[in-house]
Amino acid sequence: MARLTREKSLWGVVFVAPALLLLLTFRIVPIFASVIASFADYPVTQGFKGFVGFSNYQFLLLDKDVHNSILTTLIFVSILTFVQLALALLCALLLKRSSKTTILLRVILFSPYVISLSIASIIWWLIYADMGLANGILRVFGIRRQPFLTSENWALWALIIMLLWKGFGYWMVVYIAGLNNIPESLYEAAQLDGAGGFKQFIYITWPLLKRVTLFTVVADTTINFLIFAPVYIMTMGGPRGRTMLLAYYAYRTAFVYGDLGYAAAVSVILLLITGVVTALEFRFFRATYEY
Amino acid sequence: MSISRVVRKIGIFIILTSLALFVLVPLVWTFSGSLKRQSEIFADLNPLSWRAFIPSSLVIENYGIIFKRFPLLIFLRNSVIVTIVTTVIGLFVNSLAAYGLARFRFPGRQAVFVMTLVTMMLPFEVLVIPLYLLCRELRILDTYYALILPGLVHPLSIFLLRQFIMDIPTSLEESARIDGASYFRIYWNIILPLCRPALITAGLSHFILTWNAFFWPLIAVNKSELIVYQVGIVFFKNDILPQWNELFAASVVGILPILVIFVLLQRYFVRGITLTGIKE
Repeated sequence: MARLTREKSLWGVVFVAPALLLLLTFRIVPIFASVIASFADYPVTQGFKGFVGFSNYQFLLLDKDVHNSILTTLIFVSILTFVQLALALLCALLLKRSSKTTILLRVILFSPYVISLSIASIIWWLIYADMGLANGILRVFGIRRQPFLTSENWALWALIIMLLWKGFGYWMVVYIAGLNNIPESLYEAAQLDGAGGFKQFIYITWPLLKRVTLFTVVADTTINFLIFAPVYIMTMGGPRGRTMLLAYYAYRTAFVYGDLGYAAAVSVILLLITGVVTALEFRFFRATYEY
Repeated sequence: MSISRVVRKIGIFIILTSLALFVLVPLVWTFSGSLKRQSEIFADLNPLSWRAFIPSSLVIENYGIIFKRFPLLIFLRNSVIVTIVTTVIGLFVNSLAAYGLARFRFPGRQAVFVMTLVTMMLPFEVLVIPLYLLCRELRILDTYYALILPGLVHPLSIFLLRQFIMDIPTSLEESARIDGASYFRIYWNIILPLCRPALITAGLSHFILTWNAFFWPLIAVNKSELIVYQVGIVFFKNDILPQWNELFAASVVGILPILVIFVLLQRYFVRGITLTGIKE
């Protein structure tokens, strides 16, 4: 019997092994690799040239471009995540009951999610162009032409609107699932007690949705911290650094300036900031009710 | 009472209609623009007329020209190869791991599962630079291996399939064991067929993720024979400054396969999202 269990557990290891090996090689090792590389002088052309201690980090602390990039990223992530999830929750509340119309609307609102970020960026690059659709629409309202992507005031907002378009439908679907998971009897009881729609939301929906909200907030935050393609395709970080998100800054440091060590340090900082922010979110949104 | 309800209904109608327009207008503009001449696209915008959203002249040639002007067909082929190979091998590797995690006890099982969950929450993009270093050391940059190997494991698939397998009663497997079937046979002949809906959900999500990938393929590959579509279309935009109708047509080529698959299988897709959001 003991031999049998040992044999069985061996088979478990065999079945898990290929995935485990790939997971370790391509997901876990790179995390450590980036920490190690961040302590090295590592030009992309010559390869590893030896360790330099904390000098990449020292440089990073004084680098005004990095400060700007961190600030830009934090503003971008907070606004995008908040608006995206608020819109998603609003739509979920309006579309949670299944009927032909609501299902059609759900599919429509969700559809940009399956489009790649690179093609979405190209489409919105044309929308925001001087002769593009956005200016065509503004003209109908008598507003003069705006230089969206080349304007220091507009560029970050232009990216946020485009990513809002791309993503809120996904979180709506998550929220709909969460809403349909709340027992209907609670609402019936509230109705008997004379609670209106707003009160029901405050006292039933929102508290019981906390677990789903924790998931959406944390997952959306991590995704938004790592946004790269729209910056690469639409703005290249400009105008004057206004859209220089950290992921793009790290890319530029590595592959335009060829400094892999410094880029690794920037990646580590990005990972740390993401970790701290999501940890705070975990504390803030921890579910207090179970059902 | 009834007046406030009417006002509410109208409010909801306005919100949903404007959001649906916000989502649809860019897409409709793209599709119709892909079937026009550039001069027509500009004319329809200036001033804006409803014709901007109608493919009025049906210039189908756009779809031929783009493939002649730029090696988009090669990029498309690469995307098809990478996506199909990744999804098919991925389904095998991930379902096998899911079976191992769901049905076998072995030391470190819990650790492997936690690792899967952590990597599921950690988007692939954060690893791009160290992954570049790793693949450079492994000397697989500029090969199909670099495009395929790092994306094979799809933690979400392992998670979904494990969940699904755990809900299957073990009685079938036990009687198969008594009949002398090996564990691999049980996986292949009993578990996999029963997992069909979960396999479709997992495969679909993996397929879309791989087809749409941009950051890693941009860095992993330089040779033009290996560039995938999502990257190639950006080079198309930057290198030869194509006309808008051509850029629209190239976009539609990249969107259409995924949109068709999504509309056909959206039921399965939504189920995957639902499960990840609700269960822990």
